[in-house]
Amino acid sequence: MLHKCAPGHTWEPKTHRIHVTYRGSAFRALPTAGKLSKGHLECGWVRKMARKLNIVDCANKALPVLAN
Amino acid sequence: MADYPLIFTLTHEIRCPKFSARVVSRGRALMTVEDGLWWCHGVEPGSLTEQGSDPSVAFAAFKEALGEILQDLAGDASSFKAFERAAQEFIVDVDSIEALRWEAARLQITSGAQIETFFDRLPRETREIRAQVRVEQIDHILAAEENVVLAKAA
Repeated sequence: MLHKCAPGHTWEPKTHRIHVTYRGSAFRALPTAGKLSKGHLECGWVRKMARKLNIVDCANKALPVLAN
Repeated sequence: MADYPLIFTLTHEIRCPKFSARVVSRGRALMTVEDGLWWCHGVEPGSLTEQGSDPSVAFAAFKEALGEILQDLAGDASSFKAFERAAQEFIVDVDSIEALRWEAARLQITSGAQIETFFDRLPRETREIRAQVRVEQIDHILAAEENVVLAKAA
């Protein structure tokens, strides 16, 4: 989804969280794989990241489950 | 009610090789249910959200995540001053969509909406608040806040 909706984004895993940036906006709260209790990323994180990176419309099209 | 507007003040101690700092953050969050989970969405900081099986777990996860992000920021900072700036920038960064939901939820509470028991136990705050952060180098123990005393013989 990020490759399609945020071309040129950066993805930088830090010690605790993943730091994603796109066009001057940043999202720092994505959990690293080891912190995911269910082994996958819940929609709440992706929705929040899409809002912070200003890619909501594209993200909802790429991942329709986000729009539910 | 579907959305619950929270105001919080959280303290985190951050240690990294270059400095140790205490960060006191005051901000807003919106607690809501999505996809069968409780989510604590940051308004300020707008770049933070966490989830849990109930509101207390979601808030605990939110607090833990905030500490982790501050720790990541400290790891990247070249100095205490640089960390102070980065922490300030992160905490006061607002999610404007979440802020609208937060205001709408606050109005619902004011108008007497039915509140779930968990939230009904929380104290009410009617004053306007502004997100703020205090970052200080650790050079003393917060005796009053953390209930620390020096023991002496009777």
